[in-house]
Amino acid sequence: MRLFTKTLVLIVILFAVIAVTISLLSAQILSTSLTAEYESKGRAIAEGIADSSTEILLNRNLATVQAVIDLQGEIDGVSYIFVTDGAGNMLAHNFIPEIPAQVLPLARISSEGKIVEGISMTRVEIPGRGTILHVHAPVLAGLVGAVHVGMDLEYIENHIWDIVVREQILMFAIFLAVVGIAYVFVNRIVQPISRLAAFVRALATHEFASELDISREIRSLSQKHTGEIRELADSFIAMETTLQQYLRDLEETTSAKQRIESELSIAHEIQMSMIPKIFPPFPDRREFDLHAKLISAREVGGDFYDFYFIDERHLCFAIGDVSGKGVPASLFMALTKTLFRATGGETSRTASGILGHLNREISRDNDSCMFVTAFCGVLDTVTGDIEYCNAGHNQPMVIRDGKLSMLPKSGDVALGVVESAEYGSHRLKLAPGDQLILYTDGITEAMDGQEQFFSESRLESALRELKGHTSRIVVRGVLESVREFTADTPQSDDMTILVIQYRGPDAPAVPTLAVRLKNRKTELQRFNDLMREFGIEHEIPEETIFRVNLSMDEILTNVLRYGYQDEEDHEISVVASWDREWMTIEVHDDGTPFNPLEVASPDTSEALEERKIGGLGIHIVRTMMDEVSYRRELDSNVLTLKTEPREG
Amino acid sequence: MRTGALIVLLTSLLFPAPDMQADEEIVLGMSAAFSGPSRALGIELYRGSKAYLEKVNREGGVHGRKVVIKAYDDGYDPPRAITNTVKLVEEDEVFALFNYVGTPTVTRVLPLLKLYRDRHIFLLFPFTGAQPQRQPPYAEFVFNLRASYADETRGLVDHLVNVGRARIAVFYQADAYGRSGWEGTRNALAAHRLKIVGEATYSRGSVYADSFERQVEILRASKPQAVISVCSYSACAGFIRDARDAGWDIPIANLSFGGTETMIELIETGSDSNAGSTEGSDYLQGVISSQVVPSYQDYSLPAVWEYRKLMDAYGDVLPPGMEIADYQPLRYSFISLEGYLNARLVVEMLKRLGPEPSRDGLLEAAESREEFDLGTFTPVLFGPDRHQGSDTVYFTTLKDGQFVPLTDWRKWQAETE
Repeated sequence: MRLFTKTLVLIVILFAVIAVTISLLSAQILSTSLTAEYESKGRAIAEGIADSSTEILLNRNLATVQAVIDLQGEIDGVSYIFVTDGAGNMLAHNFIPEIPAQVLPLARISSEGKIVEGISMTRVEIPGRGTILHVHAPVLAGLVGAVHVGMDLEYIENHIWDIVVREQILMFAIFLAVVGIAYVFVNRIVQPISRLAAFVRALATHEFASELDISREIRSLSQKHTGEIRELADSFIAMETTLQQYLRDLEETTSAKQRIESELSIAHEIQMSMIPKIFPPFPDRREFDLHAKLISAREVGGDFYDFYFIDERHLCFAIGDVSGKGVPASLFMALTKTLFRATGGETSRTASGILGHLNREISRDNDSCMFVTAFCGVLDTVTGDIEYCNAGHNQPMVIRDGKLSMLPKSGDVALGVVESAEYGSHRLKLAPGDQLILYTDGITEAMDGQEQFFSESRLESALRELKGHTSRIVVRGVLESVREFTADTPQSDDMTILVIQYRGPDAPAVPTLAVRLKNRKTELQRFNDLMREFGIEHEIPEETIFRVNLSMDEILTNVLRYGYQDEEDHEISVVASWDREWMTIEVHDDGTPFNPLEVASPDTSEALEERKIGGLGIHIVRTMMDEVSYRRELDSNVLTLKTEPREG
Repeated sequence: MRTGALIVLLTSLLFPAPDMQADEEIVLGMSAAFSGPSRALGIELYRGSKAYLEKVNREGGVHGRKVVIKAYDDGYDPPRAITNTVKLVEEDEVFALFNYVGTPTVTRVLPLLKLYRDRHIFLLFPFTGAQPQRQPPYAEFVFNLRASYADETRGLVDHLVNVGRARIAVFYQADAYGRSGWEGTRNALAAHRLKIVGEATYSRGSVYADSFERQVEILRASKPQAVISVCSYSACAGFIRDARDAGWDIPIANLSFGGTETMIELIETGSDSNAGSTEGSDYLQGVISSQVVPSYQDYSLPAVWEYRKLMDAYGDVLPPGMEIADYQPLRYSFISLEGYLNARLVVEMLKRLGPEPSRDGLLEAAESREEFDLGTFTPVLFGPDRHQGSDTVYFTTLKDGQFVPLTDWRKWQAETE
């Protein structure tokens, strides 16, 4: 009620001013009029007595004069009356107990035998009686005497005071009434304003999920009031509506963005699902060792790789990079990759033919003017010959006889640029042990914090250090080098690397079981069944299969139980190979990094319930297997188990 | 009483009593103070008159008519006196107004008499010595028995001046009564070429308990040799008390209106509370009172004998219709003696009116220039120019708490400085 307090102060000041003014004014007016009236009253009394006393005075009947004086003396405001004779001697008066000394000179006004005309008035101060208006009325021109009437001016003052006090009381009553009315009135103004303030406060913390209770009040305010309050209420309601609309828009925008993001992630999934990810891809082919990895940037890029057998002998493989990023690149990549699959073997059996066809297909309706750089090769698994074609892609590297070199430039344009472009065919001969390394510019142009590229030279030195390793290890090593280089810098482009090692036609064939398991419990049984069939097929001792299954139960249960923090679908890749002496099993999972071998062997003397989770399972695995090793490979846990058949 | 009863019997035999009916009564209207600080005046005056009228009525009345008093209380208040008078004339249709008490009251009533001129309403023997009813224009409507205040004050002044007390101050009631006494004193002194040396007033209605110290102070400042006190008995008593308490032993002379037995009583009983300061009797030292009736102890007068006898017989009658509590009637007093004389005179006048009394006949009967004998050896004579029955003033002083005739003024001789 600060507004009311201010108003109250204002009213108080106003009233004080009015009260003082009116009091002064009315005191002034009253004083004037009362004095005038008083004078005429005094005059009337004096004249009356003078007239009636003439004969009495002549008769020397002072008792009667006194009776008249007594009678008139009872009139309000009359302080005293006295009658003098012509010589100014006191004849009758009503002074009690004595005649004040100040009066005596007044009594002699009419003395000295002068003829006195008319009534005269003087003011005189008499101790104990205050200021007196002294009226002097001569009787028969003062010859007989005179009547003196003293009018008490203090009576007027008291009268005025009385009136002023009454006035003040009345004013105060009015003041109280006005304050009361003002209170009600101000309340009527302040109430809506404070409601509006409360509304704004409520609005500030409101989430707009539901309507505010106070909104209805504000709406009724708008209906009940007119003028400023209504305008204010209206604009507040408008503000609320606008805010609601704005927030609704914001929500829609946000959800649209989320939708797009989820679409992007779907696109990403499409991209990733279109490329082969299971390695070894052809476990029963011993002539080569192929491994590849695509790490997509946050926004979907346009990298891809693919490989397939055109026939029993020829493996067609390719790597590519669609210009641009995002959904268009991703879609274009999907198109390119699909066409690549469709072209190989059916339309053409050479790399140049495939790329040429691909170029024509892509270029034909390429309204968006996108292009793809690609390297395509066809490996003769028997001879190690590679017929390849490079459409504007990074030059692959090759390790031959332990020497690293870059494939010479072929100078052909990227796919989708010129529809009629011809792509030349090149040849390369790989000896067993040689490696061909394909990559996209996401590798060489990966940037560190200082915006420096990883570059081909760093790639080369990384490859040199990885000489003699299998394709899987080379892929892993290169990506680790890149990651070390870029450190925390966000990945800006897809990174893809594909490595092929030629082993030659005589490389011993090892029976291999490659299974992709989903992260479901039912998969345990499936794996067990597959392994049992694998064992029967390749005459593996039942004892060995039993141990493998027992160990795998433990390992897979562990992965299922602890490996995944989300509810998504995951793949656990298990590759088992049997070279008649050793059974080797690799388990890949993309779960939480976890090295089960670091878990201490359990104290078997402890009660089962008190033993730490996982400890016992690994203990069993260690007991069942001859060798157990763990490594973290990019975003996967890789557990390798080895065992040989045990007698008895 | 046996004699009285015989007279009644004889009278009734000689003059067969007419049918005495209430409407044949002669009603006298009285307005006086029966309450307030002057009530003793009204009550005692009534008692004195009533005692005599009781006797007359018991003897068969006047020409067979009973004479009764219709009395109203005015409390010594002039407006009430006016109202009472109108009531007495208009409602009670009294034969005459009688025994009014007080100067301010009577002074204010006088114009009414002029108003009732055609009805011949006369005011008989008012208990006041003031001048208005003794002067034109009202003298013709009033018959006075008592001497005037002018007579009283002249007597006092003459005696005091004779004993060398020329410096005379006046203590008086601030109203027509006081003014009347003041004027009398002033005029009497003027005859000796003297002036009033000091004056102080008090307001009517003052009671004994009020303080008069200021008045004592004022008068004392003028160094008077005597004070003439024109007051009612309450104020007279209060003034004497305060003067004596202040150690002022100046002679104080009261007029008949104030110098009454009630005054003595007030001082004597009131001084009980002041016991130890001054003896009650000391207060009354140096107090003189002028009286307009003879002493009720003057056994030489036949009227005194009859008065005392009647007061003993019928004096216990108080005015009817009025609440007079805690009043101790005086056995004898100057006031009731005056009442007795007033009644005796009115009866004499009525007798002269004959069996069919009329109001206008009253004037004629009064002015018949035949003397009335009231048993005081001082004949009363009225005439067309004389409505004043008596101008005899008696002086009394106090001895043993009683008024005694003051015969030797030499005792009051001023000590020469």
